[in-house]
Amino acid sequence: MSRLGDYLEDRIGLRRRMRAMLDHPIAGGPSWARSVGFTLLFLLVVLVVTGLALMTTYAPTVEAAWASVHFTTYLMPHGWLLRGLHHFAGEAMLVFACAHLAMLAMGGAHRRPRELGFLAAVFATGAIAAECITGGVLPWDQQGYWARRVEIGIMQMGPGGSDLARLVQGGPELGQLGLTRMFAMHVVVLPLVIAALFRLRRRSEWTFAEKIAARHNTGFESYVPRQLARDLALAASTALLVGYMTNKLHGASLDAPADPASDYPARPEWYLMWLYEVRRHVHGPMEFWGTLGVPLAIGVVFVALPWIDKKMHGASIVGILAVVIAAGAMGALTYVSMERDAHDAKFQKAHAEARKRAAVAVALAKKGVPPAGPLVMLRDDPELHARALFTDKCASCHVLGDLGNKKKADAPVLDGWSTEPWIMSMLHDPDGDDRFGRTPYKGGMPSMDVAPKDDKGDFKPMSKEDMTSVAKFLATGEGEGGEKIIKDRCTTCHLYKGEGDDNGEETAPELAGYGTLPWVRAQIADPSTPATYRKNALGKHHMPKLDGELSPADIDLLARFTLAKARGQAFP
Amino acid sequence: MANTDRRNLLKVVLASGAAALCASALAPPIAYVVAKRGGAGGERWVKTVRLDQLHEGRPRKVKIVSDVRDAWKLEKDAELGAVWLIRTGDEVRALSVVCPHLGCSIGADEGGKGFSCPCHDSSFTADGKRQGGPSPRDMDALGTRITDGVVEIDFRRFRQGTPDRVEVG
Repeated sequence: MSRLGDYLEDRIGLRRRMRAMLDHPIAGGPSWARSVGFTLLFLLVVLVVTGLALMTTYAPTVEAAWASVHFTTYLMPHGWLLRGLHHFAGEAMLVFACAHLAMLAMGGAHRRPRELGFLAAVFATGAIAAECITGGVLPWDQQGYWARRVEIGIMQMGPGGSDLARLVQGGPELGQLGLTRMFAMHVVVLPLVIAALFRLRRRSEWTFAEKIAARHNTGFESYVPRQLARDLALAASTALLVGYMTNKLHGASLDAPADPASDYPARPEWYLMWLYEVRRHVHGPMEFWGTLGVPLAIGVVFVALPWIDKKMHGASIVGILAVVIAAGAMGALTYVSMERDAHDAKFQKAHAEARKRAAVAVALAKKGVPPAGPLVMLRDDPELHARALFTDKCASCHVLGDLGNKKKADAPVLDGWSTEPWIMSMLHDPDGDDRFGRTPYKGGMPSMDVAPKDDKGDFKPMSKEDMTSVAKFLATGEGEGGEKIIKDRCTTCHLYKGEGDDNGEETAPELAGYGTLPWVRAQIADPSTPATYRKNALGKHHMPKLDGELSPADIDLLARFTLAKARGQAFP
Repeated sequence: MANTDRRNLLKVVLASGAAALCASALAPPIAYVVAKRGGAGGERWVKTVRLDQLHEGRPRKVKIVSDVRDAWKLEKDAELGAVWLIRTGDEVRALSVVCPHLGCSIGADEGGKGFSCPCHDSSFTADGKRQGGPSPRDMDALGTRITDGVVEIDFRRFRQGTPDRVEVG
């Protein structure tokens, strides 16, 4: 060991350099503020290392980004852990950078001759915030995409904003080039800038400490052991905190893939919520100055602090004032904003829907994502597509499982439709609320076993056995007895295989093939053909035809989905 | 004396040389990064739904499906965005769903009473006039025409956050 040490000392002066670092004087004795600085350096190393590991499974293209982050998070062993550590270490770095800056400003560390080191800390904090923002877009999920889209929108409001936005996103809109640019910023440009600023800060602090040490023979300590011990203690606690958060929240979340054509209730990340809140109160031409101007003003105050506060010793009143005002305002605004969202039913509903879509996309992607990307995966999934079609075309009147609104429904509830028990209840009480009760067909079909109100004594109730035979035949197509009863008793109004409807009312539907796929398909395409509900089926408040509005493939899909769900079968 | 002059001159020459070298290395990448590429823009008529599929008093959101050019990609039949279609008689008005404020997707209020944006609560009347919230202008109306019973939209995009409508492309 010592021979290796001698060798390295001889060739690259390692021991001398280590000693110079450890024995370096620190101004004013050990301090926790300095340990925060050390912890920032530690977090930077953690982020670089976890970031490099994440880069081995990341692809910065619009089609692949979400899928590759999904792969990292859900399919690679320990991927969730790695991504979680990177995520929370990043957020911790932002929090620590702000805390560090606050401590420096309050303690007067911005005063000559330390002003350059202080400015380095101010700009490094800005660069760390930029790291968080550019990092947020890399998964190319709804959250990151929409937050950046809105932020770029704000940027465009200012003078020269269009050009700046174009520079950031590589074109007029946020797309592939924007993702590539933000990726490059996140993994190369900003880390280098941060490292350079850290180095500048250290140079400034060391030069200052050397000056003090040269002037006085006492009143300074070397870096070891007390400062080093504090540094290690704080860095270790931070590492524990990051690990705890990662484990508790099971890594970083992944929203649904970015969809520029969707409705998404965009909100920024928690650390930008205070700005979001400012934006809600400042409208019109002042909006830009309200939303970009406020952080800009805070930045300017901090940059100008060395020249505003010229007192040479003690705590800085101006610094304390700046920190208290900035932190108080940020905290209050964040609280107000989150509180309002928590009580906003509309937002909560939209948010819940977005979370649901995210869960569906994540589950689906575990089977693999097509090269055309996750949006194509979602679009081409039969169940999702069928649900979307049902929601769009059917659910304003019908109810099926969790789709549709039972209170507003004015068409039959489709759960159980065309099954034996459902037909039994139809024969007994057609005008139940879940059947014809809220439709234009109410009163059109009589009960088979309950006498009508105006009965003059000639009503013959259908026997339980006959009703069961009919239900069984209609539900399954089995049992000749049922078919015979239908032909005898139902064709006064209904058609069976094209025959019946003695009075020519053209209202009661064809019963042959009732509840089969071709029947459902025909009904969805056009209820007014002889195959289903016939001529009078397209009146007001009746079911519309979807032929021409949906493709034949979509109609077929919708029919198969509706039938399978109604009968409680698996789909697809 | 002459010696000092010569040394100073040498310093200036070397410093300018180093600066020129740095500049020559930096200029091409900077020019590349800030370069503007001409975008699409202009008219783009996109077919949407048939007129008889729209009902009066019920605004309908339709997706705009067309070819998309993004950097090196050309995607056929991609979803570009969406518009709200409002029918009055045989006339159709098209309003972009993109909020003129900051670009979130504007949704229709229940019962077709108007529109509102989920992000910053801008609200608009049933014909897209600015009603409340931070939006600096009315919803962006797009050109429509009806060809063989099919509603076609002149799909364009506009700058956000400004009182005037400025097309981007």
